[in-house]
Amino acid sequence: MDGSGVIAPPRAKIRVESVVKTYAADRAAARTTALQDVSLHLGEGELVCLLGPSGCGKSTVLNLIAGFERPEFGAVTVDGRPVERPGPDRAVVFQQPQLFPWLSVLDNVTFGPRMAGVPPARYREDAERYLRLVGLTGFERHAPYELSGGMRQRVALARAWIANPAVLLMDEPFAALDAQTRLTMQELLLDLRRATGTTILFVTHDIDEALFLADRVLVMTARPGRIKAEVAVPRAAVRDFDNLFDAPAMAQRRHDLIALVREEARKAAP
Amino acid sequence: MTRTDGTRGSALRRPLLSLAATAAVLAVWQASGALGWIGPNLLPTPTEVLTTAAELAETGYRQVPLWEHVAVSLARAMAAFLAAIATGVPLGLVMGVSPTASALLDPFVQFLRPLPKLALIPLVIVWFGIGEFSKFFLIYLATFLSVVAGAAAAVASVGRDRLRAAEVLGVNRWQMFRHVLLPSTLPDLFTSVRLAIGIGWTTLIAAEMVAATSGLGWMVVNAGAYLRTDVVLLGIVLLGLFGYLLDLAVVGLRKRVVPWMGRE
Repeated sequence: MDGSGVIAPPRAKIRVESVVKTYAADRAAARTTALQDVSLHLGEGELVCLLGPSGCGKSTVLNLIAGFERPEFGAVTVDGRPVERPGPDRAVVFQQPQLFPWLSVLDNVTFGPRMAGVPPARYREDAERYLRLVGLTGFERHAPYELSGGMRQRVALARAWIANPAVLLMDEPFAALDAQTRLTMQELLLDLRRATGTTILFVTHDIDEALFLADRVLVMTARPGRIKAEVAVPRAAVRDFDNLFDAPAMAQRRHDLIALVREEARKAAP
Repeated sequence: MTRTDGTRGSALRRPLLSLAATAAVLAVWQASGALGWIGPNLLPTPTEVLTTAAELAETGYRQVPLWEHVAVSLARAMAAFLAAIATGVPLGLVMGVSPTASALLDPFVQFLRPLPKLALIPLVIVWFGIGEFSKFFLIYLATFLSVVAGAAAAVASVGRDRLRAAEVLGVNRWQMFRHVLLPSTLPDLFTSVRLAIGIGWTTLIAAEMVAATSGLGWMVVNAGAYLRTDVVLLGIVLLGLFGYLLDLAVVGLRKRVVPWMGRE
């Protein structure tokens, strides 16, 4: 049931190998270790949730893959190429949508292709398609500040997806939304993933969200962050969110994950 | 229904209160003169100031029509403001983007900015004489330094995640500046321009003390020397009024250019 996670699958899309990341602490002489020997691999088309208490370094893992930060030791590769800087092959969706408020919805979605000099004829259809997939057909001319929080995050999803990235990195993208909107967005994400087959690393602190979305859940320890456990989710048992834990296999995994996360949360804040 | 009425009521409430406060102050001011609490040479009443305004509008002050005093001051200030914005915004943005430029220039900006510009008048006269350029230069300098500091700070306050969001969309350095950083700074740029214009307008009176023969600032100083307090007050009212109108113009422009301000 639980994969070992140590041996990389042959066609790993994302590889993080024995990564160490430290930060200069504000007042202390010693550096704070954010990540201690972290390794993980994502296969082509996998959706993996990185779960852990706040401050455990799960966003740091994502930042390393995105290329926002560099590790002290270890290696990060995407499609076999070492990550050196941010690039459009690794789309990122942040907790806040980070739209450009001076651009319309359509101009936000097409920002990447336009900056890359792609002629409008080539991205127009994609823009229509992704706006339809996220349910925003008819809102092309709206300004971001005219939309609700959930709609803004839909625009961010379409903007990330239109470049057809090798991997999609999501940093607690639905954490700031209300419960009802969050569920709608989670269902939307699963639909989008089914339609595109994109490899997704999804950072969250929400156990139910992880079990609803993921093929595999990686649990991180409190700082210094390490991968503590790996839980495979039997996707066949996942149907709708309301009855997510009717299946005994799912209820058991939820029980296990709660125990694992609680233990780390206690360490982080004694 | 209740909500609509409530909204309309609160929308009207503010201007009504402002109007009432203004009217009350004017009434007390008028009464203080009319009831003889304060002598007319110390504080002319609003009606006396109005009479003076009508007089000056017809006959002018010191052979110069009143509208010309206003126009001269506005022209000096506007020329200085436009030059300060045209040069200060790019320089401030460069300082915001480049740590080297900031390290080189910041000491001078931070030293000169809080300096009272009156202290520079003797030097400015020695350097540039008593012509128009000296007056322009003083207003320009005050506005420029404030705009530079504001623009540099505007760059620093752009959120890290917004820049990262642009990076992963594949922008190059120039695109990052032109299509992300520059529009992101617009709200703060408008705020700093607004503050800078306020500072520049207050420098106007200092600038017009440099051997001018017209202008609102000069009119106030000159009338003060002849104890024409009614003209002084009229000048103060006009300086305040046009300062207020300039500010309204900047705010109006901001609403058009940066409609997302405060709504992100």
